[in-house]
Amino acid sequence: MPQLLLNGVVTGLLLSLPALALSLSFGVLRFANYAIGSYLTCGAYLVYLFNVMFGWPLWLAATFGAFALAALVVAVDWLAYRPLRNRSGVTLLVASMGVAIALENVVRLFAGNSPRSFDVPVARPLRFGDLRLNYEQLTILITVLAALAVVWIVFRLTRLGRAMRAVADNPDLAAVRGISRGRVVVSVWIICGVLTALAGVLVGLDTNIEPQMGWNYLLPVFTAAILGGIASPMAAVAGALTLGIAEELATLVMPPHYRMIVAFLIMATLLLVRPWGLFGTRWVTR
Amino acid sequence: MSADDTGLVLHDVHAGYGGQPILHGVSLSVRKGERKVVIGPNGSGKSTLMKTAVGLLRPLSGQILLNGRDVTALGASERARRGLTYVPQEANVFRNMSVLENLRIGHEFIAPRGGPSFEQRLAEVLALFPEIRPKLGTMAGHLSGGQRQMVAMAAALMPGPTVLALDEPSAGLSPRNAEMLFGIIHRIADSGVTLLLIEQNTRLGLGAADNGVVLVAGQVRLAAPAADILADEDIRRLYLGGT
Repeated sequence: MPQLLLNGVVTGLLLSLPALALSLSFGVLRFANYAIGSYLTCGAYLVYLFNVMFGWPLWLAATFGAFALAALVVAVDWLAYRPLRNRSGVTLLVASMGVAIALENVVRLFAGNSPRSFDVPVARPLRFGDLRLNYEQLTILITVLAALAVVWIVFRLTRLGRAMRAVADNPDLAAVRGISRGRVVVSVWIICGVLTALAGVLVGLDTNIEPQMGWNYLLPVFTAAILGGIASPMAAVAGALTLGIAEELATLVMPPHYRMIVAFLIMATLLLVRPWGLFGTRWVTR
Repeated sequence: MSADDTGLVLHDVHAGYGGQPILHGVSLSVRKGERKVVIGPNGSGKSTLMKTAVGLLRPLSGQILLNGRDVTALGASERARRGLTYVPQEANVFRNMSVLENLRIGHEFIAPRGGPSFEQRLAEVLALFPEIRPKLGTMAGHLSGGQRQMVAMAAALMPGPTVLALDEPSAGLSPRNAEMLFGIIHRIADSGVTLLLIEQNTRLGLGAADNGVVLVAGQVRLAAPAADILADEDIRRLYLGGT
């Protein structure tokens, strides 16, 4: 049981980076970016490129990969989303589906379909009494917590964070108050790019790298973001943890490969009962 | 009139939405230190006039000058940096942020570099609005309508503007709160800020202003001292529905 909880926390943390990215971009741009899964895939492959093809150590490859993905995400925004900026959220959602399909196939074109893995040494898991924690999990734990702390500080305590929250709250008033929406949007995409690339690396470490990897995470990521309240980024993290633990505990009563059902069930129930999320407060709109 | 004492000037402005003009050649000027109110019946184009003046709506033709400079091509945030700040009628605070954060945002993206610091301005603005001091930690969305208006005005005053534009400050307020708010508007005007005010409540609006402009069907029908408009039964009956 404690082992399942630990695994659940790690799974949840893994989900929390893309869930946070999804929720941040939703807050500022008011559309659900379906391409988040393919961003994750692209991030993993970019890091793979630096790590395996160039032979760089993983941390260096991950750093470069994260910024390369951020650049890609900003470029996608310019090409696909910016021209549609004033359209409805549904139009942008459909555009992002197109982006997702395109990116995934670009990955397939260059990297093929076979699974790959990062160039990292194999290590024995750490043992704490009955608890087993392998190095991948430890890496996930540390990386995600550090990334979350940085995002929290940016969001709550900096000028950029205030600008992001202001645009999310009331874009028209933010413009009147001198905040450039364009710059905030670019910053949000950069943060999204970095977070999803990191998630891509961690997923790649946890399982392996293949063109479908982001796709498999799409549903749980959306569920986690909605679970937290899609408009409140930090609650998305709580949503991800809850979902991770729920998925792991579900393996007590059903075979592990049915996990996806848990995400579906939680998402469906939630949308019916508490569409503003488990932890999110009702967004004040009046 | 020299460029120095003009606050805000609109010259022959035509403006509207989707190419359909609502304002048909509006000219008005607000001198430095003046309090000017624009009144008029519903649908007369008051809000369109306000949006055009502050830069949220590009005019179809005409010219807008701020402190003697042509700002026609500039957007709202650029005009704000040049000293024209604006309090919209609705949704005029960041509801999911604290009052203090609202005031900070009012200052940090607009205030000129090297100008008074945030703390300095905060103290000055709170001296004008002692009512909101105890609410600094409260989420703006949890305030009452009157308090929100105060926070909105305080946030707009944070960068130390030369011209403050207020869009229907009494909208949605109880008569008592509206009276109180206009008391505060007097205080703001006395601090030397130039005021451009749009108001449906003609008695309150004209009472707070030096001069009034009556806007009907997108045209200026009358520009006169506020006291004269207020005193003239005919004008009030003809243009303002007798209130």
